[in-house]
Amino acid sequence: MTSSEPPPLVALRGRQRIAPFALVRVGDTAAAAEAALAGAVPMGGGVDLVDRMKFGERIERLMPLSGLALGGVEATEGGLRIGATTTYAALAESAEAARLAPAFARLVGGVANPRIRMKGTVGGSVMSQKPNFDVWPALMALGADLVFADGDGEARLPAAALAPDERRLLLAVEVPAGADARFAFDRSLRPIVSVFAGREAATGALRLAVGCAHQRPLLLRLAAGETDVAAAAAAALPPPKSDGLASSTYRRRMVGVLAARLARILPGPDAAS
Amino acid sequence: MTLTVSFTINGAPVSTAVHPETVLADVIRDEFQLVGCKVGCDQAVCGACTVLVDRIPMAACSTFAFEAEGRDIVTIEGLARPDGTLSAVQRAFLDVQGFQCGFCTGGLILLVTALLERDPDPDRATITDWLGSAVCRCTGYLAIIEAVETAARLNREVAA
Amino acid sequence: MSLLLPSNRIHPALPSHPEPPQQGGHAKVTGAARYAFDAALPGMLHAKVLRSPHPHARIRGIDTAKAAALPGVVAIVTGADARALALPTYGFTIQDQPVIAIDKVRHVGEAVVAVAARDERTALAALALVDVDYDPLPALPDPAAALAPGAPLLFEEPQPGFALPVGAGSTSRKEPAPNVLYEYTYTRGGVDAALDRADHVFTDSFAFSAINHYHLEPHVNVARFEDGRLELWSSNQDPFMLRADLSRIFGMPDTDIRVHTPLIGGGFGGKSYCKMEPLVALIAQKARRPVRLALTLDESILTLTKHAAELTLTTAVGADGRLLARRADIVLDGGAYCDASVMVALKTGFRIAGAYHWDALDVRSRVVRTTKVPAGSFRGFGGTQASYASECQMDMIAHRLGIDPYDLRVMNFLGPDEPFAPGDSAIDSDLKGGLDEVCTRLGYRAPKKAGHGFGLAVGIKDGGGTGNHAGAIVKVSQSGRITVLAATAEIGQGAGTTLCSIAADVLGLDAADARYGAIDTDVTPLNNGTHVSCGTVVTGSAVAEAAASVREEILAFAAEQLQCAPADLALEGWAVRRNGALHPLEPMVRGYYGGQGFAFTAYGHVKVPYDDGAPLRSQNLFWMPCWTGAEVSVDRETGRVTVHRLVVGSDAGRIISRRACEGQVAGAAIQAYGQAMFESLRYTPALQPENATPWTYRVAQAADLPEHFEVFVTEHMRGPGPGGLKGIGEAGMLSIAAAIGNAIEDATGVRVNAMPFSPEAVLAALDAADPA
Ligand SMILES: Cc1cc2nc3c(=O)[nH]c(=O)nc-3n(C[C@H](O)[C@H](O)[C@H](O)COP(=O)(O)OP(=O)(O)OC[C@H]3O[C@@H](n4cnc5c(N)ncnc54)[C@H](O)[C@@H]3O)c2cc1C
Ligand code: FES
Ligand code: FES
Repeated sequence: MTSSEPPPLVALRGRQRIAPFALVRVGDTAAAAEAALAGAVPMGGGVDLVDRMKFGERIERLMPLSGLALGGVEATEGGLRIGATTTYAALAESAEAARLAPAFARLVGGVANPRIRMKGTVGGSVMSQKPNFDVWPALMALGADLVFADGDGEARLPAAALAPDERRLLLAVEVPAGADARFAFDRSLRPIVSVFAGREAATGALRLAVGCAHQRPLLLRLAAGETDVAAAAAAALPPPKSDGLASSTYRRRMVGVLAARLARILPGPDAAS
Repeated sequence: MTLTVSFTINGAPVSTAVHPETVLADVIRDEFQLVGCKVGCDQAVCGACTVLVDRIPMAACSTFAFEAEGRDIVTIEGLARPDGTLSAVQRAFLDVQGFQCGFCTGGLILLVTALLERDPDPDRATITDWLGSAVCRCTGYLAIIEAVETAARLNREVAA
Repeated sequence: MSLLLPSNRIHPALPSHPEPPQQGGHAKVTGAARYAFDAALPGMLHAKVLRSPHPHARIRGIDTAKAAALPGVVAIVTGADARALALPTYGFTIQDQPVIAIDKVRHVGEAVVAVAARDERTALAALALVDVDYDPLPALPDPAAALAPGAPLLFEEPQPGFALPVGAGSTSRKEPAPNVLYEYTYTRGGVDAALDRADHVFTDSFAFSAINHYHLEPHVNVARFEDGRLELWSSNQDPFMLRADLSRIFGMPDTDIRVHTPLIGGGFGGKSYCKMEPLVALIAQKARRPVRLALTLDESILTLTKHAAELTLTTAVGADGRLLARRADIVLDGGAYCDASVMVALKTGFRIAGAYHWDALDVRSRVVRTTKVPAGSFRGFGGTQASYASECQMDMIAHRLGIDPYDLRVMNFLGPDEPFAPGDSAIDSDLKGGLDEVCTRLGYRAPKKAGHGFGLAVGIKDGGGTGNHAGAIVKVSQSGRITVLAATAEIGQGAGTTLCSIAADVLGLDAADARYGAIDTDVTPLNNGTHVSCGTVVTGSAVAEAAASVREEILAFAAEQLQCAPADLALEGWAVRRNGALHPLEPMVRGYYGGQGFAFTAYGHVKVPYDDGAPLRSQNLFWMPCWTGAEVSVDRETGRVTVHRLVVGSDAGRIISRRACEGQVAGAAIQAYGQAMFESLRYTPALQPENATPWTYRVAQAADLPEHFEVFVTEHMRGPGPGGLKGIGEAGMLSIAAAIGNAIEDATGVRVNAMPFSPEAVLAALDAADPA
């Protein structure tokens, strides 16, 4: 058995299974960015990370991000910039977010529970790329950018372009100005499926991010003027998973139903459809 | 590898050597014998292990001991006054029997303490949202909701 | 000793009782409460268990050499060690479950290798070094597969044990067919003739799902072998049953086994009957050191579930709606091992009659072995499965006949004082009264909101167990303070509070000063276990008897001191009154016994007699009703059900603590509600548990509660316990799912007969009714 592959210890998940690791302490963001590229694993709130380690996942070097100047929510020219280590709670309570991205703030203020929201970070939520977490698909639907440390500067990536093996340090996410007014979500069928929708200002196209239904959340785009959103969304969706909660067929159909409902409430050229 | 962490626990400053992978719940239970901190799910779900870290409720089963560095920790044993007087939240849980087996109770009381520090008069929706930080398999939550409302009232009566 | 019989009278109403002080409540809110989870001994080792990844496999070999060489590892236990035991298996009346897997595994999660080491971390590291060579065998995913001709056998040979004896009209058979663990039947009247004659005959099938107990304190045990004695600190709720099992398994005299039962962090049946306790003892024996085994919640989920079941009911009804006869075929999925399956089969079969009058019944209830997590006791077992099927069919019948479901029930209810079955005790609740209360609270007669539906259901189960008995000791110290010793474990139901209140009532002393003693099989009087809501009635009656004896003793003592007849004296607080003069007892006791004082001590013991004329071989002590009403609406595009109102009531006979009674009903109801709406233990097609982690195994949280949820507890004053008391702990579980299912049908016209009522299942039913 190789050391990277956790032994099949059935049901023996737990804190005593967290493998020893080295703690990497860094003084500033630049050092953190460098360490991340060198293989240190960043820890935001650690909610997801600790959970994975309790299943036996080995982390050799762990780098807490607390103490770095990576938090904070601020208005920028482009819109709203949310530092990677901003907790769900801090974001939900932020005056800037309430002003510039109230719907997104409401989403973030309602996921999980207050205990998790005071620990889990926006960056950790996105970077975990877990199918059931809400922030990343919400950012996709908002047309937001992920801002990574890159050399001495920053690199931007549309949220939907995040690669599964991204190793760079996430510095912040940026929600474009005005996007929030054309954003809505439906989590009522979680954990079977959740849908986040945003209308592109320029084109009127509908961005639909789908959570819970695949290995990773994913983004669909329906052209403006689509008359049958339900059918189009269901047809465009890659095969969703089947499990004991729901079949693939049901998930596909529900993506259509929820997408159509969201399309109806989003302002836009084809709001009436 | 071990490191030394220093923090205060129920008001007392302490230093202790831990491994990086040690979680706070084990330090609290094994090192400080504060076994009112229970471990139920060991997955940040049930809240039985909840402690206050700088007055923020945290799952001690899923928080590393090193994260406690320099912070102020309160466990269920540290909530009553030294003379034994119960806090309003403890009093309320006792009065309305907001527990059955009691395994979730310490964590819940700390959680509700944090809630009422932030919102002294929470509405039902807020209470329900906060109680989402815990699982109680025994009570069906009715008595717990009543305990929260009672504690809020007791606090107001003291303040008045 | 006295015989405890079902009550056949209405007790006089008593003055309303103030809430008694909660035994141990202060400790629970201050963190001072100590559970089995907190038990620790000097020099204690920690054990961890390697579990089967296969649903069914032969074990070709186990290589523990590398694990044994790991520093800190003290003992390793495998099936080879179990084989050397006097009896290597356990189970209630059929002992088919090995203490640790011997040659074969029969479900994912079965214990295969146990390691004791200096700490859990080392034990886990050792387990990772163990090599088990499995030869996978075909899995048996469900009873249908296990019953199919030529299906692989879970057991090649008959297993030790016997078929539980039963009474009039019943039969009981152990392992009657391949892969069938047990079969119970009950027959009375001529069902065939009734079916032929009846105006209407309806056959419907229902599927009931498997859920886990999810008690927040996972199973935990500390064991020590010392000086030829085995001592155990256990989260098991049945100390004496455990002692008897351990005695058989280790071939030791029962008096050499000592079980301590600290506070238990929830159980709901999951901690009753023998489980991993013999394994922990075996590890301790081999390690020659005390050993603690605390399971993860994940492991607890793979230890026991409630029984999934398929129930097919063929019910004959007269044109006027009178129920005439019922044939029931019940197939319970027992999982890999017996555990308490025999009891569950018997109780499901018995309870399928529901709260109604019948001319004829013909019931067959079987437990089939499959390669899944063993199923066993879960709050109200048998009653939940039976009530679900029976109460759903009641509504289906009502709709088919165009009768209001309320009227159909009321027309067929067993009246108070009517026996549940010939030879059995009479119903001791006013069934109609309770249902009327639900209707009032629900607004059943008020106009419904558009799209909303109402559902009613009435569950009933026997309570108090079959032929149970219990002993209790009541002591009163020189200062007039009570100590109650009894083996009903404190598991959240408030056993100590109730039992102390009963003693204090009899003695006229202050319940606040009473203490419920720690449970230790060396000193605590024996009872059958913390089961079937029998704590208040059976153990409570023993306590009342003991308290009455102590009272006699106290009065006799005082009479001697005052040179009068005991009949001249009345106990009043901690003093006796004679001719108007009050004589404090404390100085009297100290004067006679000296400074150390004294404890007046008496033993009480009650036994429910066997009675071959009753179907279960003992008349049931009392009946536990559950009246439920639900209001729902359904999202027709997604199938999502919203429960707007849920009203649940039961009858405590008499209430000692209203809060405790309501808490029991609310807690049980929300467990059942979770099961109805979303909770279940699911398996992949390859029979791997799909959601056996605390996070993915979703249980109800506060936000899941119905928009409006209320419970009520009535006092019909007809119970057999002190003052008309009966048990209530399991009642709230019984009819929740049926009421919600019935409300869904009322709202949509479609019936969903498998649980949980997931959005997809509901939508599929809507689609089927209206193929677009
Ligand atoms: C009971 C419970 C309920 C929950 N319910 C919800 C829910 O409803 N909706 C929801 O969205 N979430 C939910 N969560 C998940 C929770 O929100 C996430 O676990 C959390 O947001 C992750 O954030 P974190 O900061 O703790 O991440 P961490 O665990 O710190 O990190 C997660 C991953 O991201 C990486 N990472 C972290 N920060 C950075 C960075 N700046 N740059 C690069 N990589 C980084 C880490 O290396 C790690 O791989 C729930 C969790 C629990 C325990
Ligand atoms: S034990 Fe930590 S949240 Fe359950
Ligand atoms: S009281 Fe038992 S889990 Fe809450």
